[in-house]
Amino acid sequence: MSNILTPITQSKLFNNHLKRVINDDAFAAKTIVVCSVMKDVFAYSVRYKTTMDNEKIPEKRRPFVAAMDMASGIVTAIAQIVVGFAIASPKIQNRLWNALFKGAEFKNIGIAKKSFATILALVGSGVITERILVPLIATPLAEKMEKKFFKKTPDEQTQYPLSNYLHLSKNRPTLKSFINKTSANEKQSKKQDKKALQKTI
Amino acid sequence: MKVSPIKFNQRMANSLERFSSQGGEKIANYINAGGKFAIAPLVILYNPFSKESKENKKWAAIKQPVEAIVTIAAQIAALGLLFKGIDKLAAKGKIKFKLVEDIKKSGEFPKQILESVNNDKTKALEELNKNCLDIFKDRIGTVLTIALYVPILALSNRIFPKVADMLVKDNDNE
Repeated sequence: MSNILTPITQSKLFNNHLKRVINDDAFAAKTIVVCSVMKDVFAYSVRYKTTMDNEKIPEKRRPFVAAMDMASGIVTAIAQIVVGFAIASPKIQNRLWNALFKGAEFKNIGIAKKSFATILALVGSGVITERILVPLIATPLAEKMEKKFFKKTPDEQTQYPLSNYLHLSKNRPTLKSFINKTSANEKQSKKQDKKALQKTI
Repeated sequence: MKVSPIKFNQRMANSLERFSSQGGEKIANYINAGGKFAIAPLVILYNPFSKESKENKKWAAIKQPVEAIVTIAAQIAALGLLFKGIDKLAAKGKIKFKLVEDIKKSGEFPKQILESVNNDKTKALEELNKNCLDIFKDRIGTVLTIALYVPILALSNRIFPKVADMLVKDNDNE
């Protein structure tokens, strides 16, 4: 495992990043916010895909649950970066630090200050923004998106936006598609065997 | 019983120090799961700007705590194992940072590190190495957390319709 990690721990890019995180608390907090947004964007994309494929969610409820996932992903990314970066600014950090920890003693004030900046940026971006502002904005947005983009086909099937891009394979990995694929392969190999046999004869 | 401002501040400071020993990635996951579990469902259910049906909102709201529990359980287990493995490698001296090696040669420590150990250069080197290792664990942890989302969400997508079906009795779940 250390062979895989050494190129990272010795790389110029990663070591410059380490230097900046150690020297600059605001940068450290902003990095955590960006990581959090990256995780959320990925998670919401997966959530949206799994929701639209999830036949256990009643057809009547699925478009709204999927629209909610999509709207939340979009609003989360934008709002978290704006709020997280604003809270990570040294001015706000110092004002809150003085209000909360005036006269308190720390074993290691440097680490405590860095953690405070990180926690504050995360609470701002991850709780206030993602959990309060995002659902408030995303719920009505999801309703509008559901009406505008989640159209029904004549046979009452929902057409989910981006489904062409998110379904990489047309044969979804269900037991049925696996059996169909296997039997199709078997038929093809039998045909090839027959041809080869005819040629040799 | 009244708590004096200094005592309150000291309690806050102690909590902050205890919490910060967990590392950034773990803290991020705790805060994320806590918010998803306790706050998100209430905001979805009682959103004054939404005209969506109550049942639809209940379905979307129930998804949040189910996902939060599955996510935090998987993340604690996986990150715990990963961080333990990295710590073991570091203890054996198999993880070395270029920044630490460079500073060892030049003796020019970052100001924040020196201040945190009262300008003791031997302790500063240990502190610097610990800082680098913590940041490294956080970044690798982020990658693992992203990779874990696929199985985590697949699992919570299996569990949450069952829970929602049990809790939302509208006889209209077709």
